[in-house]
Amino acid sequence: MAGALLTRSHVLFAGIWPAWYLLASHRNLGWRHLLRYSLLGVLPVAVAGSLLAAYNSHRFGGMLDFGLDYHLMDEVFAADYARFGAFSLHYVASNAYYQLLAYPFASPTFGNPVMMGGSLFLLSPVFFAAFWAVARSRPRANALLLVATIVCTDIPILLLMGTGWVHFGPRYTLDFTVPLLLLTALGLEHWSARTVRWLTEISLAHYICGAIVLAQILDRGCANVEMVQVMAPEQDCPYAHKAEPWSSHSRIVAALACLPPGTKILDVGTATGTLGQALSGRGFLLHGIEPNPSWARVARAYYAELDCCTLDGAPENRLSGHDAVACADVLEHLADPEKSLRRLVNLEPVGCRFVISVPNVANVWVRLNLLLGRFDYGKRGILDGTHLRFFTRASLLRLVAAVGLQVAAFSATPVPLHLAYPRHKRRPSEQNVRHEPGSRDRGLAHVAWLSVCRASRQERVRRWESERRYR
Amino acid sequence: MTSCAQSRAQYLEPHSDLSQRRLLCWESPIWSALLALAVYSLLASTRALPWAVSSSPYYNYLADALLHGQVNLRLVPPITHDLIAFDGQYYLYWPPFPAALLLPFVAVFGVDFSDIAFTLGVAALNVALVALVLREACARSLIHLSPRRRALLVLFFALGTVHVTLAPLGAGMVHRPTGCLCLCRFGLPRSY
Repeated sequence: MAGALLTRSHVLFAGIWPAWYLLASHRNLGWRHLLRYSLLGVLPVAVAGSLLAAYNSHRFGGMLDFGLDYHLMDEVFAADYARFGAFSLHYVASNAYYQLLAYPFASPTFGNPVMMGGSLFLLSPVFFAAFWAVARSRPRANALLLVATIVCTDIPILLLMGTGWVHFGPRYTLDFTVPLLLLTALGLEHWSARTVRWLTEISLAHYICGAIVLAQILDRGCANVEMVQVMAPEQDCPYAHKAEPWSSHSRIVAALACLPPGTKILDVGTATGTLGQALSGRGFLLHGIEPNPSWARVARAYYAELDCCTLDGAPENRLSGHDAVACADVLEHLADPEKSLRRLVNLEPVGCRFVISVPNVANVWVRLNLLLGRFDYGKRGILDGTHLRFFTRASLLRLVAAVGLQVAAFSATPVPLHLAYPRHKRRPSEQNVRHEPGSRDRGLAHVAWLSVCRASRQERVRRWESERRYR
Repeated sequence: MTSCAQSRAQYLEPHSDLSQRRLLCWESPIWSALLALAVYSLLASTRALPWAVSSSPYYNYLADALLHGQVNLRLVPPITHDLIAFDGQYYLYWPPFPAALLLPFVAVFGVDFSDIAFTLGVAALNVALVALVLREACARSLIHLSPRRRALLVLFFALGTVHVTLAPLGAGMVHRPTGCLCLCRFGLPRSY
C-alpha cells in the first residue's frame, strides 16, 4: 500500500478490504499481537506518507501541495478549476455519468469521433455479478467490506476535476478494479456457466474493438488520451495567418527571412503555428512557446521544438541561446510585459534580434469610438477580449528601450480594410508605412493598426542611449 | 495443493476438448501473463512498435531527474501538457513511485527507454497477479469458483476491462492496481 500511496494517493483506500481480511483472519492471535502487527503493517505506509509530504514540501513548500495551482491543464479544465478547484461536488454528476452510464459511441464532433470514458457496467457486464454478491453471498461482511473499499476509492475519483475524458472505458475505475473483481468473483458463484461465458465474450468484444478504434483515433491525431477537443483548434483559434503582404505577419516573416539558414528562432506565442508555417522550409531551427495545449498540438508540426507553457512559466534554459526572437502580437496578452520581455532579453545572447509587433491602441478608429463613448472588446483586433495591456507607438518604443533593446527599424501596418470589405485591394505603394527609429511622425500614431518593431540586444552602455532616445 | 488439483481434475474430465484446455491456460499465472503480453503487444503494435516511447513519457523524465538528484525535470519532454510549471521549472503532480521503478532502466537506457514496453510488462504482471489472487482466494474458501470460471475471470480482467485499452498506450495508470494486487497476493496466506 506504500507503493499505492506513492503512485496515486487515493488508491490507498483500496487496501481497506485486504487490511480487514488480514486482521479478521488473525483475530485469534490476541489483541496485543494484532496491535503489534497492525503497527508494523502501517509503518511502511507512514514512511511512504512522510516521503510524499517531504517530496511535496521540497517542491512547492506545502506537504499537501501537489502543485495543481500551476498545472498546465487544458482550457476546458482551467475555467472549472478556477471556479471550483480540483475537488468539488460540481464534478460528481458528469464524472458519474461518464463512469457509470455513458456508452462510448464514436460520435462525430467537428468531424472527429470523440469517446468520453464509458459505462463500467455496460462495457464490462460481467461486473453486474457484484450486485449478486451483495445480495446473496454469505457471510455478508466480506461483500460489504469490498463494497466499502470500492466506494471509498471511488469518492475521490468522482470529486476530481475531469475524469470524464477522451478514452474508451472508465480508466479511473482501474483504481478499484481489484476489490470489484473479488466482489464479482463472489457473485459469479450464483450465475450459470453460460451466462458467465456470454457476458465475458461481450466484454471482450467491447474492449478489443474499443482498443482498436481508440488506436485509430489517436493515430489520426483527432484525440488524445489526456485531451478533449471540444472544438477543432483551427476553429477555436481566432488568430489566423495574415497572408496579405502588408500584414504584421508578412512584415515579421520578411524581417526574419533574410537571416541565414541554421538560425535559431524563438516564436513566442505560436497559436496554431502560422508563423512557423510561413518560416518553414528556410532551414531555420524553429522553437515555439504556446500555452494553449490544443493550439500547440497543431503548431507542433511546424517547429523543431515546442513548449506548451507561458512565457513567464518557461524554464530559463528554454529561453536562451536563440539568434532571433519573434513576439508577434503577444506582449499585449501579458500582465507585465516589461518584466516578461526583460527576462527574455536578459536570457538571450547579446546581438539576438527581436521582432515585436503589438496593436496600436491610438488608432484613429479606436479614438473615434472612444470619443463616442464606446470601448467594446471583440474577438480579435486591437480591442481583442484577451488583451491585458495596450500600446501606442511611443509606449512600445519606451518598453523596448527599457528592457535593453536598440531599435533598428520600426514600421506600421495599415487598417485591414479587407476584413470589412473583402474586395478591397490596396495598392503596393500604400502597403506599409516604414519609419526609421528616430522619426517623430505623429501621423503614424493615428493611422497605424499594428506597430512592428525590429530591435536587437545590445551591450549595456548602448542600452542607456536607447532609453534616453525615446524618453 | 491436493484440493485444488482434485478440483481441477474433476473439472477437466467432462471438458477435456482442446478449447477448454486453451481456456484453462488463462487460469495459470504464467500462461495468462504470456498470453496477455502477446495480445497487449499486438494491440500496441497497431499504433507504434512495442519498444517505442509513448507521446508523454513523463515518468522517464522524472526518473532521469531523480537520478540527477533533483525533483524538477532536468530535461523538457516533447509535450509539456499536464505538467506543473512552477518557478521556471517543470514538475509532475503525480507521486513518484512509477518513476522510482523506472530508475534502473532510465539509468541504463536514458529517457528514451520504452515506457510502452515497461507498461506492457507491468500489465502482464497484473494479469498474473489476478490469476494468483483468485487461486489463493479459492484455496482459502473466500470464493468458490471452478478453474474454468477463474480462467474466464482472468481473461475478463485481461481483455474485457479498461486494462486492455490502457496497457498498449503506455499509460502509467496500469501501475495503480499492481500495489493492491500485490497486497492481496501476499496478504492471503499461501496454501499451495
